[in-house]
Amino acid sequence: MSSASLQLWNSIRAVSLDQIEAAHGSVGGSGRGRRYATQQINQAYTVLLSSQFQGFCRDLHSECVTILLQGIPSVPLRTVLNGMVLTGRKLDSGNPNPGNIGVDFGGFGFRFWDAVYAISVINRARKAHLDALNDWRNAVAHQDFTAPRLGGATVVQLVTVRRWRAACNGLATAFDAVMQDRLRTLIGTSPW
Amino acid sequence: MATKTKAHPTKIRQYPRVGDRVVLRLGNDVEGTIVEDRGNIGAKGEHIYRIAVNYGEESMLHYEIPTSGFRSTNEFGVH
Repeated sequence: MSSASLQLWNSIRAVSLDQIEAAHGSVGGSGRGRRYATQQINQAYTVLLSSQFQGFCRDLHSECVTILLQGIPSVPLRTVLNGMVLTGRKLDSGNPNPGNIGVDFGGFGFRFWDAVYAISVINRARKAHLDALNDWRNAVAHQDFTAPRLGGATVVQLVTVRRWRAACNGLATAFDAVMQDRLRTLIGTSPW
Repeated sequence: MATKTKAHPTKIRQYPRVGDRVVLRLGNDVEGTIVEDRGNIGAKGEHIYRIAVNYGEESMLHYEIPTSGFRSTNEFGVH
């Protein structure tokens, strides 16, 4: 059993990402024009991947907040607390970078990334991929490829976006498991 | 021969929609606007809506709650 948010990530959000990958494959030819067109698609894929992962993180946070507050019998009190918890949520306006994710999920009273690392050592590498994805997302969105963290690169390869997507897949599953465990500790039963 | 067109009965929507004005159950009546349909991500698959409430002085607060947390101002309108 997994959260509704993870199910959405693995279905509707995955389909959306598959569609842009299919667009990459449908660009014909082998010359310079094709390389330019596929680069635009790779850049769009980068931004879309980041936004879909942001959507997943935001969904999971909302789902966890709703489940946590469900135990409060008073509807008005539950609603007031809901508004307070969501105020200033980083994932509503900021990139899904490790810092923003750690702050928002840390609100559940634990060191989020430490719990993610505890599941698998691979998650450290996945987090580094997420950092790179967000650096490139910003570069594409602002069309500014001068950031030192890009290492002088100005193009993004499909294989790289696929690597980032695999990292996001792994992290999504890990986040789901970490929050399931955390909510079980807080409310005494498995949330999903 | 002229034919009569049959009038379609007006249906009252049973579900909220983005843009609807609603009243939050906060002890006192607080009006807000549904700004996003968040889908079935609530507890036990409950449908969640994001509602913006303007408390004045540029103080906009958001709530993400199921329909049990608010009521419509006018039966969610018609369609």
